[in-house]
Amino acid sequence: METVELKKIWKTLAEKQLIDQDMAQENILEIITRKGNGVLNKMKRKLNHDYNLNLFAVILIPCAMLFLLYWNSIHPDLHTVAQMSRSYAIIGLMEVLVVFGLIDSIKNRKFMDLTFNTGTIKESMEQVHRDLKAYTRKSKIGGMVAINIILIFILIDIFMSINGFKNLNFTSSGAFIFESYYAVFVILLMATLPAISRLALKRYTQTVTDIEHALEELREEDFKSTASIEETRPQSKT
Amino acid sequence: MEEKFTRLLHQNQGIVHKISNLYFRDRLEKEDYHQELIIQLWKAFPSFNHQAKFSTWMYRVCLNAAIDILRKEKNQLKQVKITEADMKHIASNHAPENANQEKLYQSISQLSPIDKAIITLYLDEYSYKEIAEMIGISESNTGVKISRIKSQILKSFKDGNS
Repeated sequence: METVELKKIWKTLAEKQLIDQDMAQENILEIITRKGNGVLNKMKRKLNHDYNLNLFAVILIPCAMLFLLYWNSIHPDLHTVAQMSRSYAIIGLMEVLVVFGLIDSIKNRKFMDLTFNTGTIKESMEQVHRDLKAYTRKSKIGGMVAINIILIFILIDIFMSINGFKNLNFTSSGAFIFESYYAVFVILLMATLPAISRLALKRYTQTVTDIEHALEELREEDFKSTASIEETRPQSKT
Repeated sequence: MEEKFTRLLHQNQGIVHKISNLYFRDRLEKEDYHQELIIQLWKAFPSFNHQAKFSTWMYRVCLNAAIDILRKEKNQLKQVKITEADMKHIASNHAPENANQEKLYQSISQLSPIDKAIITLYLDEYSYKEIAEMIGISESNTGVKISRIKSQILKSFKDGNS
C-alpha cells in the first residue's frame, strides 16, 4: 500500500467517522463562557471536595483532642491514665492519617494545575516533568517533617503519661504495658515513614518516570538521526 | 476576542473532533473531552500571535492538551471504559467499504500519544518541518519516526489481510 492510498483512507476516515458533528458558533461561545463541564474541571471538583473533607478533619481532630483534655480535667476520677492515653493515641493516629490525606489532596490539586499547552510537545513535557519532580520532592520533605512532628508529640505525650523511659514495661503484667507497646509502635511508624511516603507518592513518581521515558526516546532518536546525518555527510578534505 | 475565537474555531473545528476521537473515542462522557479541548484552546488563545496558521496553532494546543489530559487521568487512576455503544459502533463499521478505515483507526489507536500526534499531522499533509516544530524534535528525527510508524501501520494492514 502506498502513502497516497493511506492518506486517502485517512481523509475518508476523518471526514466520515472522526469529524462526527458540526458545532455552531453559539455552542462554542457557550462552552467557553460556561467553562464548567470539561474533564479537568470535573476532576478538579472531585479533588476540591476531597481537600475540603480532609481539611475539615484535620481541624476537627485537634478540637476533639482539646475537648477530651478539658473533659478529663473536670472528671479526673472517671478514667485511668492508661485509658486516657489510649484515647489520645487513637485520636493522634487519626490525625496522622488525615494529614496524609490532606497532603495528598493538595498534591493532586497542584498536579491538575500543571498545564503547558502552547509550547512544543517536547517543551511542555519537559516543563511538566521539571515542575512535577520539584513538587514531589518538596511535598515529600514537607509531609515527612509534618508527620514526624506529630509523631514526636505523641511520643512525648506517652512518655509524660508514664513518667519517663524508666517506667516502660514489656512484661505480661503490671502498669503501663499499653503505653510501652504504643511507644514502640509510634517509633516503628517513624522508621517506616520514608517507605510509606514513597508508596503514597508512587502515582507521581510513575508519571515522572513515564514522561522521562517519552523524553528519553525523543532525545535518543534526535541524537541517532543527527549522528546518521553526520555519518552520511562526505568528509571534507583538509 | 470571543467573536474572533469562535469564528476561527468554527472554521477549523475538524481538528478538535479528530483529536478528541483519536485520543478519547472509547471514553464515557465524550462530550466533556470535546469541551475540555475547546476550553484549553480558549485559555491559550491570547498566545496566538498570527505568525503561524490558526489551524497549526490549534493542532499544537489540542495535541498538548490531549496528552496532558491522558497523563492527569492516569494519575487519578481514572479507568478507560469502552461503552456498549462504542462496541456497537465499531462492529457496525466493519462493513467491507469501511474495513480499511477501521484498520487505520485501530492501528493509530494503538500508537503512543506522541506517535499518534506525529502520524495524524503527517496524514493531514503537514510538512516534516512543521511537524518537527510542533513536536520539538529535529526534521530528520521526524522523518525517521514517520517512516517507522508508517511501516507499523502498513504491517497491521498486511497482517489483517492475510
